[in-house]
Amino acid sequence: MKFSQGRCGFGVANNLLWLASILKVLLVKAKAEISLLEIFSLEVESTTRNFLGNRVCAVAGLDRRNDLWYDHEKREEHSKPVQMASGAGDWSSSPIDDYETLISTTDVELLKRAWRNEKASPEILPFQDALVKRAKEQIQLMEETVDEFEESGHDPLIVSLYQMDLDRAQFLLRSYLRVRLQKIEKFMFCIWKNDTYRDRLSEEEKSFIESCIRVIEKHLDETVLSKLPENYRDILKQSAISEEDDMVPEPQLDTFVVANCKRATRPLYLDSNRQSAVFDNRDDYFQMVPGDLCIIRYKPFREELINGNIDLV
Amino acid sequence: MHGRKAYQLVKEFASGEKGQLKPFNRELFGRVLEECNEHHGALQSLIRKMQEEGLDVQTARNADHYGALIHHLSLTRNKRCLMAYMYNRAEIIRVLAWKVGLLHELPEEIQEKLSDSEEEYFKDHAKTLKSYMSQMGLDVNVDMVPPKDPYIKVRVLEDVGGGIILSDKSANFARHSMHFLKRTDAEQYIARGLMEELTS
Repeated sequence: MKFSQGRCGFGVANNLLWLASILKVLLVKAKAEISLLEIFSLEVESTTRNFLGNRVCAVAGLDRRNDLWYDHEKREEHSKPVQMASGAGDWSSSPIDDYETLISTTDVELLKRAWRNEKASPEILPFQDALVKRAKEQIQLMEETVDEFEESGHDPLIVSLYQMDLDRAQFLLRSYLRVRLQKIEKFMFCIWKNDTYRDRLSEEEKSFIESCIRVIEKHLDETVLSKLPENYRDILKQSAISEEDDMVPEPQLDTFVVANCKRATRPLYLDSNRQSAVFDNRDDYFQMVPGDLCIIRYKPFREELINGNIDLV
Repeated sequence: MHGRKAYQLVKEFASGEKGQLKPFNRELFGRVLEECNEHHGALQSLIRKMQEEGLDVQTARNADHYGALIHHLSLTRNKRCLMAYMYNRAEIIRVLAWKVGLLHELPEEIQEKLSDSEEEYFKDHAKTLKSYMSQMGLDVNVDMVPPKDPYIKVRVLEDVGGGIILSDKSANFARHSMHFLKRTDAEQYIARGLMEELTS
């Protein structure tokens, strides 16, 4: 159904010859605008909208509708005004405002947020299982669309726009998984023996970490441990008399992160020695409110991040 | 002196350039291990001596006890240094595995610097990553930099001839020739050092 919508959209676009020429100009400009950070074509679209005003929006609108990156529940809702607008050839401002709020709940945006948080946080965060699954499905659909376009001899420019969108989506997904894997590699012992951390892994990551540990244990055992006296052979303890594991690399939770507040956080003590649950009358606690952008110590805010009240940047 | 050699070992690792390996220092490594066993011998003979004197090893606080303690601490310190040396090298090996690409062998210059066990570790770890990727059905080792453009300009550095299969067409990839290719096609050759990306 989505596909037929898209194709019909393109039919309209092809009929309007002038659109093609505008699109070309627009691509050149848009390309110049893309920096490393703006890795998503949705951003390209919003840039182009600023460039060429409302009429081009209709093009972007068609594109967007065909784009498979919408939140499932909201997609229907959104496609209606677009259709009406492009049919009438006029573009009121309200769908754009809707679009802005809507865009923050799309899968791209969610994946981007998950990716940024994962990149910036020192510890491993819960795996976004459903999101990754959806992203994979959508990427596959997009691949099919691009292939179909290539075969049916569509305008190569449009095909390459789609290809670019696809490439970026794939990069985002891969980078997300990669950042996690690298974090797992780094803190494998710590993650494995801590139940909270272990529950944050996906099934695949669990078997990955098990295998990682097996391999490095074998390696360290062969080189160091088997050659030491008997009481000193444990991989996690310095010697047999250590009461707890005292040789485990752990993530540095006291590091500073840049955080953007979405929902107000609980009031928190920045001093980690004090319990945040108990407050006295002194006002040396700290609370973030929506819109705040702060550089904070990670540890007191880790709960807030997992609850989705703040985003890391 | 206690712990001096182990310190040298770690120092040597730390003085290396970040992310690059120095040759595995087999000699020093072996000597530290020897030292560990010497400490252990001394530790045991001290404990034996205390037992012969009829003292309780757990509670007695005489000169022999503190001697034994020093040996024990030197031993754990040496162990930590050895482990740190191996572990940090292993970390670099993992980073290399990501960089070189998992399907390929390490270049010879790097292989020379590894110990046998480390080579083994590289292979085992690459296997682990590969099995993760086949489980996910997704190759996470491509797309290492954010894509800007579906096409890039490359120059061929080594003679690769006709061995390259492109998704749509083939061309003559003579050495030093320049091409405008799909990024996805060119990426693997760039990672292996057969091509370079031209940026202008």
